[in-house]
Amino acid sequence: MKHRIAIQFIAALGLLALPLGHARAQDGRITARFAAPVATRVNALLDSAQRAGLPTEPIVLRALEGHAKGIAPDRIIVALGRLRGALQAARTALGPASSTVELTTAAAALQAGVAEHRLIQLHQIRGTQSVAAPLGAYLDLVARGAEPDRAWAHVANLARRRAGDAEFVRLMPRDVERTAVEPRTSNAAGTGTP
Amino acid sequence: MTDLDDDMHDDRLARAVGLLRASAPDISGLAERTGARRRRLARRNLLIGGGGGTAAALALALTFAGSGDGEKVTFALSALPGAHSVALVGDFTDWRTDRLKLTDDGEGNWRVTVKLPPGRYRFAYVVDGGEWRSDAAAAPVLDDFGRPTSVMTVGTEL
Repeated sequence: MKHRIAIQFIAALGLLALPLGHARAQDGRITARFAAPVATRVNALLDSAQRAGLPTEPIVLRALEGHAKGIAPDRIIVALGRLRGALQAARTALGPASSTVELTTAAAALQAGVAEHRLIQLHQIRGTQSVAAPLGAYLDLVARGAEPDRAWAHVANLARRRAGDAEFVRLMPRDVERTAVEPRTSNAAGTGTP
Repeated sequence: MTDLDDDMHDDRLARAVGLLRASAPDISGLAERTGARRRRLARRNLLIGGGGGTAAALALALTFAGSGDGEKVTFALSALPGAHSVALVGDFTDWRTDRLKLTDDGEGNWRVTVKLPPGRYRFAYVVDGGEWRSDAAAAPVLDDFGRPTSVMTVGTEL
Protein backbone atom coordinates (compact mmCIF):
# COMPACT_ATOMS: atom_id res chain seq x y z
CA MET A 1 0.00 0.00 0.00
CA LYS A 2 2.79 2.37 0.98
CA HIS A 3 4.60 1.46 -2.23
CA ARG A 4 1.53 2.30 -4.31
CA ILE A 5 1.08 5.64 -2.59
CA ALA A 6 4.72 6.48 -3.17
CA ILE A 7 4.40 5.71 -6.90
CA GLN A 8 1.28 7.85 -7.14
CA PHE A 9 3.06 10.67 -5.34
CA ILE A 10 6.07 10.51 -7.66
CA ALA A 11 3.77 10.40 -10.70
CA ALA A 12 1.93 13.47 -9.44
CA LEU A 13 5.21 15.29 -8.95
CA GLY A 14 6.21 14.36 -12.49
CA LEU A 15 2.97 15.76 -13.89
CA LEU A 16 3.56 18.97 -11.98
CA ALA A 17 7.13 19.18 -13.16
CA LEU A 18 6.26 18.85 -16.86
CA PRO A 19 4.47 22.17 -17.27
CA LEU A 20 6.90 23.86 -14.90
CA GLY A 21 9.86 22.60 -16.92
CA HIS A 22 8.26 23.72 -20.13
CA ALA A 23 7.49 27.13 -18.71
CA ARG A 24 11.17 27.79 -18.13
CA ALA A 25 11.73 27.98 -21.88
CA GLN A 26 8.84 30.36 -22.49
CA ASP A 27 9.82 33.89 -23.41
CA GLY A 28 7.45 36.79 -22.97
CA ARG A 29 8.89 38.60 -25.96
CA ILE A 30 7.99 35.69 -28.20
CA THR A 31 4.45 35.34 -26.95
CA ALA A 32 3.97 39.10 -27.15
CA ARG A 33 4.96 39.38 -30.81
CA PHE A 34 4.02 36.14 -32.49
CA ALA A 35 0.61 34.60 -33.03
CA ALA A 36 -0.05 31.80 -30.56
CA PRO A 37 0.62 28.87 -32.94
CA VAL A 38 3.94 30.34 -34.04
CA ALA A 39 4.91 31.26 -30.49
CA THR A 40 4.24 27.68 -29.47
CA ARG A 41 6.65 26.42 -32.15
CA VAL A 42 9.32 28.94 -31.22
CA ASN A 43 8.96 28.15 -27.53
CA ALA A 44 9.26 24.43 -28.30
CA LEU A 45 12.58 25.20 -29.99
CA LEU A 46 13.68 27.24 -27.00
CA ASP A 47 12.66 24.39 -24.74
CA SER A 48 14.67 21.96 -26.81
CA ALA A 49 17.72 24.23 -26.70
CA GLN A 50 17.39 24.72 -22.99
CA ARG A 51 17.16 21.01 -22.36
CA ALA A 52 20.34 20.57 -24.39
CA GLY A 53 22.05 23.15 -22.20
CA LEU A 54 22.32 25.71 -24.99
CA PRO A 55 21.72 29.44 -24.53
CA THR A 56 18.25 30.47 -25.63
CA GLU A 57 18.81 34.23 -25.89
CA PRO A 58 20.48 34.07 -29.35
CA ILE A 59 17.50 32.08 -30.62
CA VAL A 60 15.03 34.54 -29.12
CA LEU A 61 16.87 37.48 -30.69
CA ARG A 62 16.94 35.77 -34.10
CA ALA A 63 13.19 35.17 -33.86
CA LEU A 64 12.61 38.80 -32.97
CA GLU A 65 14.82 39.89 -35.87
CA GLY A 66 12.81 37.78 -38.28
CA HIS A 67 9.55 39.13 -36.91
CA ALA A 68 10.74 42.74 -37.13
CA LYS A 69 11.75 42.21 -40.75
CA GLY A 70 8.38 40.74 -41.63
CA ILE A 71 9.74 37.31 -42.49
CA ALA A 72 7.21 34.49 -42.88
CA PRO A 73 6.92 32.39 -39.70
CA ASP A 74 7.87 29.15 -41.45
CA ARG A 75 11.14 30.68 -42.65
CA ILE A 76 11.84 32.01 -39.17
CA ILE A 77 11.30 28.56 -37.67
CA VAL A 78 13.68 27.02 -40.21
CA ALA A 79 16.31 29.66 -39.43
CA LEU A 80 15.92 29.08 -35.71
CA GLY A 81 16.34 25.34 -36.17
CA ARG A 82 19.55 25.91 -38.11
CA LEU A 83 20.81 28.29 -35.45
CA ARG A 84 20.07 25.77 -32.73
CA GLY A 85 22.03 23.15 -34.66
CA ALA A 86 24.93 25.52 -35.16
CA LEU A 87 24.96 26.41 -31.45
CA GLN A 88 25.08 22.73 -30.62
CA ALA A 89 27.98 22.14 -33.01
CA ALA A 90 29.76 25.20 -31.65
CA ARG A 91 29.50 23.91 -28.12
CA THR A 92 30.80 20.54 -29.20
CA ALA A 93 33.82 22.26 -30.73
CA LEU A 94 34.48 24.75 -27.93
CA GLY A 95 33.41 22.77 -24.89
CA PRO A 96 30.79 23.19 -22.17
CA ALA A 97 32.49 26.17 -20.51
CA SER A 98 31.97 28.40 -23.56
CA SER A 99 30.16 31.66 -23.00
CA THR A 100 27.03 32.68 -24.87
CA VAL A 101 28.99 35.26 -26.89
CA GLU A 102 31.52 32.62 -27.89
CA LEU A 103 28.83 30.16 -28.90
CA THR A 104 26.90 32.78 -30.85
CA THR A 105 29.99 33.89 -32.75
CA ALA A 106 31.15 30.32 -33.33
CA ALA A 107 27.70 29.37 -34.58
CA ALA A 108 27.84 32.28 -37.02
CA ALA A 109 31.26 31.08 -38.15
CA LEU A 110 30.01 27.55 -38.75
CA GLN A 111 27.02 28.87 -40.65
CA ALA A 112 29.41 30.96 -42.76
CA GLY A 113 31.34 27.83 -43.67
CA VAL A 114 34.24 27.89 -41.23
CA ALA A 115 35.43 24.33 -40.64
CA GLU A 116 34.89 22.93 -37.17
CA HIS A 117 38.56 21.97 -36.84
CA ARG A 118 39.46 25.63 -37.10
CA LEU A 119 37.22 26.48 -34.17
CA ILE A 120 38.95 23.77 -32.18
CA GLN A 121 42.36 25.07 -33.27
CA LEU A 122 41.53 28.62 -32.22
CA HIS A 123 40.08 27.41 -28.93
CA GLN A 124 43.32 25.53 -28.22
CA ILE A 125 45.41 28.58 -29.07
CA ARG A 126 43.35 30.89 -26.87
CA GLY A 127 43.21 28.59 -23.86
CA THR A 128 41.09 30.32 -21.23
CA GLN A 129 40.68 33.43 -23.38
CA SER A 130 37.46 33.79 -25.34
CA VAL A 131 37.46 33.03 -29.05
CA ALA A 132 34.66 35.53 -29.72
CA ALA A 133 36.78 38.53 -30.72
CA PRO A 134 39.19 36.66 -33.04
CA LEU A 135 36.37 34.72 -34.65
CA GLY A 136 34.31 37.86 -35.12
CA ALA A 137 37.32 39.61 -36.61
CA TYR A 138 37.89 36.75 -39.02
CA LEU A 139 34.26 36.79 -40.15
CA ASP A 140 34.36 40.55 -40.65
CA LEU A 141 37.63 40.37 -42.59
CA VAL A 142 36.29 37.78 -45.00
CA ALA A 143 33.00 39.68 -45.36
CA ARG A 144 35.04 42.75 -46.30
CA GLY A 145 36.86 40.82 -49.01
CA ALA A 146 40.00 39.48 -47.32
CA GLU A 147 41.32 36.18 -48.62
CA PRO A 148 40.05 33.56 -46.11
CA ASP A 149 43.26 31.58 -45.56
CA ARG A 150 45.31 34.75 -45.21
CA ALA A 151 42.76 36.23 -42.81
CA TRP A 152 42.74 33.06 -40.75
CA ALA A 153 46.53 32.93 -40.58
CA HIS A 154 46.65 36.55 -39.40
CA VAL A 155 44.00 36.05 -36.75
CA ALA A 156 45.66 32.84 -35.54
CA ASN A 157 49.03 34.62 -35.32
CA LEU A 158 47.50 37.40 -33.24
CA ALA A 159 45.85 34.83 -31.02
CA ARG A 160 49.17 33.07 -30.45
CA ARG A 161 50.62 36.41 -29.35
CA ARG A 162 47.73 36.69 -26.88
CA ALA A 163 46.42 39.86 -28.49
CA GLY A 164 43.57 41.65 -26.75
CA ASP A 165 40.11 42.11 -28.18
CA ALA A 166 40.83 45.62 -29.40
CA GLU A 167 43.51 44.39 -31.77
CA PHE A 168 41.07 41.98 -33.35
CA VAL A 169 38.15 44.38 -33.52
CA ARG A 170 40.04 46.97 -35.54
CA LEU A 171 41.50 44.57 -38.12
CA MET A 172 40.91 45.53 -41.74
CA PRO A 173 41.65 43.55 -44.94
CA ARG A 174 44.72 45.67 -45.68
CA ASP A 175 46.23 44.43 -42.41
CA VAL A 176 46.30 40.84 -43.61
CA GLU A 177 47.37 41.35 -47.23
CA ARG A 178 50.97 40.37 -46.57
CA THR A 179 50.33 37.61 -44.08
CA ALA A 180 51.85 34.29 -45.05
CA VAL A 181 49.28 31.58 -45.48
CA GLU A 182 49.58 28.55 -43.20
CA PRO A 183 50.00 25.25 -45.05
CA ARG A 184 46.73 23.36 -45.13
CA THR A 185 46.51 20.16 -43.17
CA SER A 186 45.23 17.03 -44.84
CA ASN A 187 42.05 17.48 -42.83
CA ALA A 188 41.38 20.84 -44.43
CA ALA A 189 42.65 20.12 -47.90
CA GLY A 190 40.12 20.12 -50.63
CA THR A 191 37.22 21.38 -48.57
CA GLY A 192 37.20 24.71 -50.36
CA THR A 193 35.86 26.37 -47.26
CA PRO A 194 37.73 28.43 -44.71
CA MET B 1 23.85 60.64 -25.99
CA THR B 2 20.16 61.32 -26.42
CA ASP B 3 17.29 61.04 -24.00
CA LEU B 4 16.37 57.89 -25.79
CA ASP B 5 19.55 56.30 -24.54
CA ASP B 6 17.82 55.95 -21.21
CA ASP B 7 15.67 53.34 -22.86
CA MET B 8 18.78 51.21 -23.23
CA HIS B 9 18.98 50.74 -19.53
CA ASP B 10 15.57 49.33 -18.92
CA ASP B 11 14.76 45.89 -17.74
CA ARG B 12 14.82 44.27 -21.13
CA LEU B 13 18.36 45.35 -21.91
CA ALA B 14 19.52 44.37 -18.46
CA ARG B 15 18.00 40.96 -18.94
CA ALA B 16 19.51 40.52 -22.41
CA VAL B 17 22.94 41.54 -21.20
CA GLY B 18 22.62 39.32 -18.18
CA LEU B 19 21.75 36.35 -20.33
CA LEU B 20 24.60 37.04 -22.74
CA ARG B 21 27.01 37.15 -19.85
CA ALA B 22 25.39 34.37 -17.86
CA SER B 23 27.48 31.52 -19.20
CA ALA B 24 30.79 33.35 -19.22
CA PRO B 25 33.37 31.26 -17.40
CA ASP B 26 34.56 32.58 -14.07
CA ILE B 27 38.15 33.49 -14.83
CA SER B 28 40.23 34.81 -12.01
CA GLY B 29 41.43 38.35 -12.68
CA LEU B 30 39.23 38.82 -15.71
CA ALA B 31 37.49 41.87 -14.28
CA GLU B 32 40.81 43.51 -13.54
CA ARG B 33 42.17 42.76 -16.98
CA THR B 34 38.97 43.99 -18.57
CA GLY B 35 39.11 47.19 -16.58
CA ALA B 36 42.70 47.79 -17.59
CA ARG B 37 41.87 47.15 -21.22
CA ARG B 38 38.93 49.52 -21.06
CA ARG B 39 41.06 52.25 -19.56
CA ARG B 40 43.58 51.83 -22.36
CA LEU B 41 40.73 52.07 -24.81
CA ALA B 42 39.21 55.13 -23.22
CA ARG B 43 40.66 57.44 -25.81
CA ARG B 44 40.37 55.09 -28.71
CA ASN B 45 38.23 56.52 -31.43
CA LEU B 46 37.88 54.23 -34.36
CA LEU B 47 36.13 55.72 -37.33
CA ILE B 48 34.93 53.61 -40.16
CA GLY B 49 33.70 55.68 -43.06
CA GLY B 50 32.30 55.12 -46.47
CA GLY B 51 29.14 54.52 -48.38
CA GLY B 52 28.07 52.14 -51.04
CA GLY B 53 25.42 50.35 -53.00
CA THR B 54 22.32 52.36 -53.63
CA ALA B 55 23.41 54.81 -51.00
CA ALA B 56 25.98 56.65 -53.06
CA ALA B 57 25.10 59.84 -51.24
CA LEU B 58 24.91 58.04 -47.96
CA ALA B 59 27.77 58.11 -45.54
CA LEU B 60 27.65 55.88 -42.52
CA ALA B 61 29.96 55.84 -39.60
CA LEU B 62 30.43 53.86 -36.47
CA THR B 63 32.45 55.55 -33.78
CA PHE B 64 33.63 53.65 -30.75
CA ALA B 65 34.84 55.11 -27.48
CA GLY B 66 35.48 52.94 -24.49
CA SER B 67 34.37 53.89 -21.01
CA GLY B 68 32.89 52.38 -17.90
CA ASP B 69 31.06 49.13 -18.38
CA GLY B 70 31.15 49.14 -22.14
CA GLU B 71 31.80 51.23 -25.17
CA LYS B 72 29.92 54.23 -26.42
CA VAL B 73 29.10 53.55 -30.03
CA THR B 74 27.90 56.33 -32.29
CA PHE B 75 25.75 55.22 -35.19
CA ALA B 76 25.41 57.82 -37.91
CA LEU B 77 23.89 58.24 -41.33
CA SER B 78 24.70 61.31 -43.34
CA ALA B 79 23.25 62.95 -46.42
CA LEU B 80 19.77 61.59 -45.87
CA PRO B 81 17.85 64.80 -46.50
CA GLY B 82 14.46 63.35 -47.34
CA ALA B 83 14.07 61.19 -44.29
CA HIS B 84 11.60 61.99 -41.53
CA SER B 85 12.77 59.39 -39.03
CA VAL B 86 15.58 56.89 -38.64
CA ALA B 87 15.48 54.12 -36.05
CA LEU B 88 18.34 51.93 -34.92
CA VAL B 89 17.23 48.36 -34.32
CA GLY B 90 19.17 45.30 -33.34
CA ASP B 91 19.93 42.71 -30.74
CA PHE B 92 20.31 45.52 -28.19
CA THR B 93 16.76 46.76 -28.76
CA ASP B 94 15.11 43.35 -28.98
CA TRP B 95 14.60 44.35 -32.62
CA ARG B 96 12.00 46.93 -31.67
CA THR B 97 11.83 49.95 -33.92
CA ASP B 98 10.57 52.31 -31.23
CA ARG B 99 13.48 52.13 -28.82
CA LEU B 100 16.34 54.09 -30.40
CA LYS B 101 15.76 56.97 -32.76
CA LEU B 102 18.56 58.81 -34.49
CA THR B 103 18.37 62.58 -34.31
CA ASP B 104 18.71 64.90 -37.29
CA ASP B 105 21.08 67.85 -37.15
CA GLY B 106 18.86 69.69 -39.61
CA GLU B 107 21.07 68.98 -42.58
CA GLY B 108 20.21 65.35 -43.12
CA ASN B 109 22.86 63.96 -40.80
CA TRP B 110 21.42 61.46 -38.37
CA ARG B 111 23.14 60.03 -35.34
CA VAL B 112 22.68 58.37 -32.00
CA THR B 113 25.15 57.23 -29.38
CA VAL B 114 24.51 54.21 -27.22
CA LYS B 115 26.57 52.45 -24.62
CA LEU B 116 26.94 48.76 -25.32
CA PRO B 117 28.58 46.04 -23.26
CA PRO B 118 31.13 43.77 -24.94
CA GLY B 119 29.49 41.45 -27.43
CA ARG B 120 28.73 40.81 -31.05
CA TYR B 121 25.58 42.50 -32.26
CA ARG B 122 23.40 42.34 -35.33
CA PHE B 123 21.68 45.59 -36.22
CA ALA B 124 20.05 47.65 -38.96
CA TYR B 125 18.47 51.01 -39.60
CA VAL B 126 14.82 51.61 -40.41
CA VAL B 127 14.19 54.79 -42.35
CA ASP B 128 10.73 56.36 -42.20
CA GLY B 129 9.30 53.31 -40.50
CA GLY B 130 9.65 50.91 -43.39
CA GLU B 131 12.90 51.07 -45.34
CA TRP B 132 15.50 48.71 -43.92
CA ARG B 133 19.13 49.62 -44.44
CA SER B 134 22.29 47.84 -43.52
CA ASP B 135 25.32 49.84 -42.42
CA ALA B 136 27.82 50.19 -45.23
CA ALA B 137 30.57 50.83 -42.69
CA ALA B 138 30.03 47.48 -41.01
CA ALA B 139 31.04 44.16 -42.51
CA PRO B 140 28.43 43.26 -45.14
CA VAL B 141 26.68 40.00 -44.41
CA LEU B 142 23.40 38.37 -45.29
CA ASP B 143 21.03 37.55 -42.47
CA ASP B 144 19.36 34.15 -42.12
CA PHE B 145 16.61 35.34 -44.37
CA GLY B 146 18.81 36.34 -47.28
CA ARG B 147 18.76 40.07 -46.63
CA PRO B 148 21.73 42.37 -46.10
CA THR B 149 22.34 43.12 -42.46
CA SER B 150 25.07 44.53 -40.25
CA VAL B 151 27.17 42.90 -37.57
CA MET B 152 29.41 44.66 -35.10
CA THR B 153 31.78 43.49 -32.38
CA VAL B 154 32.20 45.59 -29.29
CA GLY B 155 35.32 44.73 -27.28
CA THR B 156 36.78 44.13 -24.91
CA GLU B 157 37.39 40.75 -23.36
CA LEU B 158 34.25 39.12 -24.66
